[in-house]
Amino acid sequence: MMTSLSTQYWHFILSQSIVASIGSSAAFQCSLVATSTWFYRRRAAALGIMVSGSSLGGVLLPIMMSRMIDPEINNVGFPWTMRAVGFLFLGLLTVTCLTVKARIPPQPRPFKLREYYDNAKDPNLALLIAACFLFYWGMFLPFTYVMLQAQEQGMDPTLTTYLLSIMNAVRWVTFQILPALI
Amino acid sequence: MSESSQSTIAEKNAVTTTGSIKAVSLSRPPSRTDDSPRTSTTQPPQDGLSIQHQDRNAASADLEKYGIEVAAASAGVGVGGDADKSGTGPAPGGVDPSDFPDGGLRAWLVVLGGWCSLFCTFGLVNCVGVFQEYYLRGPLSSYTPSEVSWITSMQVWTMTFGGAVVCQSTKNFCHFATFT
Repeated sequence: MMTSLSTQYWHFILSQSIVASIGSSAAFQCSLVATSTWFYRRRAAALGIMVSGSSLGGVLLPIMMSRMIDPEINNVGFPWTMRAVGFLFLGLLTVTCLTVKARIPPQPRPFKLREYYDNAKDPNLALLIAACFLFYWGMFLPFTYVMLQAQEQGMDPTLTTYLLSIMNAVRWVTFQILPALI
Repeated sequence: MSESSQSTIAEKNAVTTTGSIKAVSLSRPPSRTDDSPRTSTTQPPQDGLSIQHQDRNAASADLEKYGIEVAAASAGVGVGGDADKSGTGPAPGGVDPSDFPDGGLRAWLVVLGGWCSLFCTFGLVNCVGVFQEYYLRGPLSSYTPSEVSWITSMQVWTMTFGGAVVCQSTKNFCHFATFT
């Protein structure tokens, strides 16, 4: 909602990069942890189906947002686009609030920073952390710049708006649904 | 010591039991001072091929490890929940691999709720290209693409790094149950 009111660079930084992402972090981390408490054998399938929501969001939201912002199609404008997206999220996250519950209640423990890096001495975990670090380092580069690059290379402007959706649709099938089921 | 912490747990369960909120009872396995063997750490079955039993050992080994660590630390620190005071690694109920439902309506409803939450959170993250293009065309056209990409990349970073903070605070402060 605050992003819809933003006009300056620091407005966007505060509203989108810090405030919105802290809330998003709370929502998705708790969902991940809660799902893990309900599944053991089929945890991969459950988590894969759950994470497929992000790819489907990546398919639908770019189309929705680009068509709403574009003055030639629906001149809704960026502020009301963000508010519409916010209301959509309100409905979806209401479902989340009503359904997500951890089967095993949280066990309060004193906060010790040592717990976060102590286990990293295990070589398997250290390699996994390094692999994930490098993976995410490279993953969002194409998502960020593919539309700009396509426009610079002369791609049809109406097709560039669907580029992100195509990428996310392929990602949904090949990297989230199929591995989870296999 | 263990009796007082057990009664504290019982009080907590009594306090949290209301009409619509279910209280979760924590089943405590026998402490290490008992002569009765802990079923989760007895010798493996003779066939030796049971993955479940290996997982059970791994799960209980993890809990015992944190139980030992917490017991050593709580003597000096003295901060934490009731589960830390017993010092013999009280296992929360339902951690054994055979306790996980692995299906059922309730479990799949949790998956549905998580699907919705990931649609909203990482779905918006997957739209960084749309944000980037709009910002460069519109309100932030005087900035370079590299500067504008700070907005969305910081969004992704805060979402993932914030998990460490959020999970810890959820563990320590969210004692109340959810709606169903």
